[in-house]
Amino acid sequence: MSKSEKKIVLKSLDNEAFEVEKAVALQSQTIWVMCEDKCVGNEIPLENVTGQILAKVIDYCKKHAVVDGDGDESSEELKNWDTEFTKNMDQSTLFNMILAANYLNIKSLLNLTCQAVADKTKTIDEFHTFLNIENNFTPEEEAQICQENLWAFDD
Amino acid sequence: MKPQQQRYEDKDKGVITTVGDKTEPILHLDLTIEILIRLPAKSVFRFRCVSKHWCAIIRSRSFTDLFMSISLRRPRLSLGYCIFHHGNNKPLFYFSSPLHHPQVPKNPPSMVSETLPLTYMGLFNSVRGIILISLDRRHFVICNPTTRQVIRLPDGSNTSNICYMFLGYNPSNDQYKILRKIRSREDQSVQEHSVCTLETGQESLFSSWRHVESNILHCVRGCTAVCINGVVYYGAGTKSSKRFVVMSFNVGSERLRHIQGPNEEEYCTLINYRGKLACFSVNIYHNSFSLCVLDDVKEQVWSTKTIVPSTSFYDLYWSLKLYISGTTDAGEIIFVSALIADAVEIFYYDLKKNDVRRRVLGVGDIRDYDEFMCSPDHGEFFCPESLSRYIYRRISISCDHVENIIIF
Repeated sequence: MSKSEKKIVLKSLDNEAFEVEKAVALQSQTIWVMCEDKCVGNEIPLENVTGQILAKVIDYCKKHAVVDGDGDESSEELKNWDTEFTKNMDQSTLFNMILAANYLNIKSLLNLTCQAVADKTKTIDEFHTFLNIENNFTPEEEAQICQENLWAFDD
Repeated sequence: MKPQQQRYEDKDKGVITTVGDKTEPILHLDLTIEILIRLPAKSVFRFRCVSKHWCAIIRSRSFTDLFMSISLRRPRLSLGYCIFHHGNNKPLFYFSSPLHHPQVPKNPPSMVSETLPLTYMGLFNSVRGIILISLDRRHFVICNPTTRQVIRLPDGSNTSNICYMFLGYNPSNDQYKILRKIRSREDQSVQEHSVCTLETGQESLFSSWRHVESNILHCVRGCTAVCINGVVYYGAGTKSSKRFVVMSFNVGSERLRHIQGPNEEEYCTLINYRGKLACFSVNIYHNSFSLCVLDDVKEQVWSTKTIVPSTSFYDLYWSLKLYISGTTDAGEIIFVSALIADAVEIFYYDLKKNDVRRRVLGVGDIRDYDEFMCSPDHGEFFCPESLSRYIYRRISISCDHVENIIIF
C-alpha cells in the first residue's frame, strides 16, 4: 500500500475536510463498507455530521485506533481517557455524538456516549426534558404508578 | 387543537421534537432505548412514571432483555442478609456493588422484604440476578433484589419429608425452571425429583411439577448450586462411595445425571470458573487449596490446580471465614468474608502471580434500619446494650450478580 492510500479524507456536512489515517477512519463500519464497495474515491462525504462533531469523533477514533499493531495503550488508560472525553460535553453535543456514532456505526463510541447521557440523567424532570415529553398520566394514575415503584424513589 | 394533537403523537413515538431551537438534535426511539438500558435499574423503574408510553416500553420483555444484555457486561457482587430477632419474621436486606469498580459511591443496602418467615438457612443459588432461598426444610422463595420482588414457591412436601430446590435458566429458550428434590426423613432411599417452569406472563406463575427420572440415590451436600449454560450443578454424596459427586441437571432436556467428583475429597464448594464448573477444596494437611476444573463435561475430565497460599493468607482464610464465591473475567478467584459489620472484605486471588488483592467494601449502615450496635462475633452480630439478641446473618452471596428488571 502506498503512502497516499493510507490516508483518507472525510468531509463534513458543512464542507470541512479532515485528512486521517485509513486505520483511524475504518473503525466506522459505515466508512469501512463505503471503502470496500469502492463506491467512493479518497474523499468521503458524511452528510449527517457537522465539522465540529466530526472533529471529536476523529479524536476518539485516533485514540482507539491500533495503527500498525501499535496498541500499547493500557485498557485502564483508555477508560480514563474516555471518561475525560465525555465529561464536559453538554447534552446537545452528547446527542449529536450519539447520532454521529450511530450513523457512522462505531459501536464503542455509541456505547460510551449513551452511557454518558445515562450517567447524567438522574431525576424524572431531567428525563422529561431529555425526552421532551409531557406526563400524560392522570393524577390518579400517576399516584398509582409511583406507589408501585415507590422503592425506586427512596434515595 | 389539531397540530398539538399531532405533536403529541410524535412525542409518543419517542422522537424529540423541539420547538424553537432547530439545532437541537433529535433522538429516535431506538437510540433513546440505548440510553435507558444503560441506566441503573432503580432509575429505570423511576422512569416508568414518566408517561404511559414509556411505562409500557419499560415493562416489555424486549426491553427487559436489552437491559439484561448490558447488565451481563457489568457483574456485581451481591450480598443478602437477614436480621434475626424475636419472632418468626425477619427482614431481608440486599446489598450489591460493581465487581470491578474500585471506587463506588455509598450504596446502602435495601430492604427487600420486611417479613421473611425464615427459620433455617440452608441452600441458596442465584441465576441472572434471581436468587432462590430456603426458608426452612420445606419452604422456598425466589427473590429479585433489583425489583424487590419476593415470591413464595409452591410448597415442597409434607412434614415427613425434606425438600431441596434449585433454580436454573435455559438460555436457548429464555426459560427459568425449578428442580425439586424430596426425600423421606426416615428412609434416605425414598426420594423423588421433579421440575416446574416459571411461566412469566401466564395466569399462574408456576407450571405443575413434572417427574424427573433419576437412577442414582444421592443426598445433597453443600449449600449452593451453580447454573452454567443451561445446566444446574450441585454437590452430592452417594451411599456406595464416600467421594463427592456432582449432580447435573440439564434445564432444557430436564435430565438429571451424575458426574464423578475430581478427587478423594468428601466436600467441595462448586463455583463457575470462567464458564466452566470447578470444585474448590481445602487440604488442611498441606495448608493448600485445590481447584479442580471440569474441562470436558461429556468425558468427565477434570484438571487440578493446587494453590499454595502464603501463610498469612491461609490464616486469614480461617480467621475471616472466607468463602469462595467465583472468579473475575481475568480469572482471579474471589473470596468473601462471612464476617460483615458495616463493611465486607473481598479478596481477589491471582492464580498466575500467586498474589492477593484485598478490598473493603462499605455496605452502608444497618443502623439506618434498626437501632442497635453491631459487633462481630464469629459471623453473628448482636446487641450488647439490650437484652434482646439481634443476630444478623448472611443468606446468600454471589459475584456474578446482575441487575435483572424482569417482573414475575
